Amino acid sequence: MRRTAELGFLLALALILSYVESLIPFSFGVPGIKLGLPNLIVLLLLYGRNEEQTADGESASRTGFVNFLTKGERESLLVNALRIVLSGFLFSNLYAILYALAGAAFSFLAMIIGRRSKRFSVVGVSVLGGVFHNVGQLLVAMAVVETLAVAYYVPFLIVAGTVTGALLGVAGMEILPYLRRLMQEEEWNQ
Amino acid sequence: MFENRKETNRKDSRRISRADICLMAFFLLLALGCFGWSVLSRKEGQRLQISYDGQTVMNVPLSQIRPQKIAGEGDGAVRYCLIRCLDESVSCEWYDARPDLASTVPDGGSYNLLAVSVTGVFMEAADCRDQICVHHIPLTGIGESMICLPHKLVVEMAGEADEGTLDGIAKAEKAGKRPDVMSKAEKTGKTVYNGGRRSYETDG
Repeated sequence: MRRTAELGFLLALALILSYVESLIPFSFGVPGIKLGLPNLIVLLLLYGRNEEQTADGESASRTGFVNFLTKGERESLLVNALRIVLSGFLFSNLYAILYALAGAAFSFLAMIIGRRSKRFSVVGVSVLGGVFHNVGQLLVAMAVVETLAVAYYVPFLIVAGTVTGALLGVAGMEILPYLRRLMQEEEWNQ
Repeated sequence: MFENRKETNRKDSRRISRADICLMAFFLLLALGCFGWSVLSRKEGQRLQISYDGQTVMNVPLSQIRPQKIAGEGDGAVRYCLIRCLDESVSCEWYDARPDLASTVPDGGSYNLLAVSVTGVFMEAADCRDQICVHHIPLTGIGESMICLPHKLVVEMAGEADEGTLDGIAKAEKAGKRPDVMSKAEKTGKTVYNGGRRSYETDG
């Protein structure tokens, strides 16, 4: 029950970040580049839970993609999908939702692979997420309109994904210890 | 959600690892490589094509519309094309100097002011709500395009002759040289008839 409330709280935060992002004029001559602020929430959910990354014991006996994910991964997937659908209906249109979902799917896969490889810190995982979000979205756009004409955006999108991913990763890295400490204190008070 | 915290995940939350730096360097080098490759393989556009809501409204050779380079004056010269739209009908007018938008744009209509310089084609101004086209980098190479989604306008650089349009494909078919033209036409031509749907840049 408490976890549901916490997830709702983070979902609301992600929606606010979506809105804030839509207010910031942020243009570098190539459509599709943006800060990706809501990805901060995905990062916090992926890393907030102190669990062994394989979640053995919990899901070892079960199969299927959903059970293959750890709790933190499932929660971040859920919150992000809801965030995209809700912010899409609130601030933009159906096509935008589809493209955002495609980008988020690529980004999420890249991030869980990056996290499970245990080579990268939050920053590296965030960079992976940023780059794959942009590139995945471009690939889907190319498939939908059946054109290669937008391929010249690729280098710009990779650079943008790296820079914004690194910035968000550093922010997440700074926030995480405080979030964990906050939650710990809360638990003691109960 | 943060229950059962042991001191496990802590190591990955405080420090940027060497792998992170390598990853970022890799992506930046990859982008540099892609950029270099796209610059080297770029072919200068020959024709400018403008379509509204999937219908081609203009398809002219750049050599006709490009301002002449005046010796000693650099690349400064710019010609303008004012694309106005009122009640689903589109008009294009050329100007050698920047037109006064307040007096030329009718009430209730919308406009895009396209600029053609010696080095490229860019959107000087528009009254669309997202201004994505105005911020777009200038078009130079074949196949590069910019889309003003709110105005259903697509501006595109095409190759020589009619290559890249459906007319061009039809002519090429008659002339019996379909295959080599087709491949390029598929890259550039199809997008013209999808004007309103290329909406990936508006994601939320």
